Amino acid sequence: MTSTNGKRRARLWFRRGHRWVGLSVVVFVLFLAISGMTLNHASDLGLDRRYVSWSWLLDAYGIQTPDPSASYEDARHRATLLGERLFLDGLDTGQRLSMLTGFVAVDQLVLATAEQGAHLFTASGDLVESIDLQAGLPGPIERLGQVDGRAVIQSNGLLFRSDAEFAGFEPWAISPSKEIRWSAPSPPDAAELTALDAAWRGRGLTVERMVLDLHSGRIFDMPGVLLMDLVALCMIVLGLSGLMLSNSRYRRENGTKSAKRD
Amino acid sequence: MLPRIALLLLLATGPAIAGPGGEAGRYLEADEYLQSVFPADMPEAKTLWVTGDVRDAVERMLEHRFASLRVRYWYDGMRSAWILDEIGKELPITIGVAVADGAIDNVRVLEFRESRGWEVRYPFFTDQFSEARLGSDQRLDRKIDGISGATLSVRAVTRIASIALLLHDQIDDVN
Repeated sequence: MTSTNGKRRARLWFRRGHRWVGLSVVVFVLFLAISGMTLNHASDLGLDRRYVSWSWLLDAYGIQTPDPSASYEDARHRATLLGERLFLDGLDTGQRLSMLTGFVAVDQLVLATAEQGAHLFTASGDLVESIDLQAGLPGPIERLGQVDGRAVIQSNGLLFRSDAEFAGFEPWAISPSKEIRWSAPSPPDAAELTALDAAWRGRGLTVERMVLDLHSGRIFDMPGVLLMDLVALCMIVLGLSGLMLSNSRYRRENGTKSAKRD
Repeated sequence: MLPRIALLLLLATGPAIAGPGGEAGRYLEADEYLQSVFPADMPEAKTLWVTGDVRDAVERMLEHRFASLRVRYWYDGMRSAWILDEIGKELPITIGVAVADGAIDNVRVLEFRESRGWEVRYPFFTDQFSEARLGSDQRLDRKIDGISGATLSVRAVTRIASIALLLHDQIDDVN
């Protein structure tokens, strides 16, 4: 009799435990299921192309704008290199450069040069063409200037002048009457730096990454990861205890039926 | 039973065990590709503005905005060569396409930057484009067989092949 009571009490506690563990993780389970489904369809939902702009969260992620490695101004346009990203008038052009060697604005076009190529944009920032100049120049681009509405590149001490459409560069010898206006670096002012900071950080964290970090708990560092581990453990315990409870109920009901038949 | 399960697991995780590096890289320099297209005498590079109706048609083929307003090509009066970029999943794939008489002469993947889908570089895939033309619906006149696990790369190469044919028609009209 005592043994039967003990078993019943243990089963009662087991069932209570199962219930309380289940109730305490239900919010997390719902969250994990929803965030998991969201991640499965992140690309279709465009979450990999949407960016988080909350300043406190970007700070928490340690997303800081690097100092400009080079910046040039010409005809009220400014090209700035932050990290490897080229910004034109405060907007990310989408072009990646390891070095910015010069910048000129001529008519409605602006030209930025790297070490081995040039990027031509309209004045409104649309990319016209990325030009690979590696094969046509004797070395890296040392500096960029302009003369008579044409761009001039200096490479290995030699000069190369563009055609009127900036489509190609040919070796060129300067005549004494001409003077090349070389582009010279200049630091962006405070307002430009603010715009660059917003543009840099604004594309630093995708919504997909944030959801992924919420899903894994990594957004709260190690405590968050451990919490999610605990939730996962609870889900394992719930699965196993659920199986055991249903098995014990099945055996009990089958036992009762057999006893009745006998 | 256990050995069978272990074998199944091994097969399923094989690609992951192989590592994400794959065989991405620069396979062919642009100059080398152009030399192979024009072995006798390489023509000067020319530029084509991709604006107006042509731009609309290109963007319909790409199903997204075309990044640049002008493209560079090489044309010797018969054959044209195009070196164009298209995003596979996240990074651009640099693809060379040679077109002659309105049909594709060859397609080569010059540079592949992502960790998956680099199989599109192999001739078993690129050879499918030989002699392909644009149909009236602005699609290739033949089915290009895909590669499992490289769907986005296959799509990118197929789109660029179609665009090269379209652009070749434009320079044919001009010349």
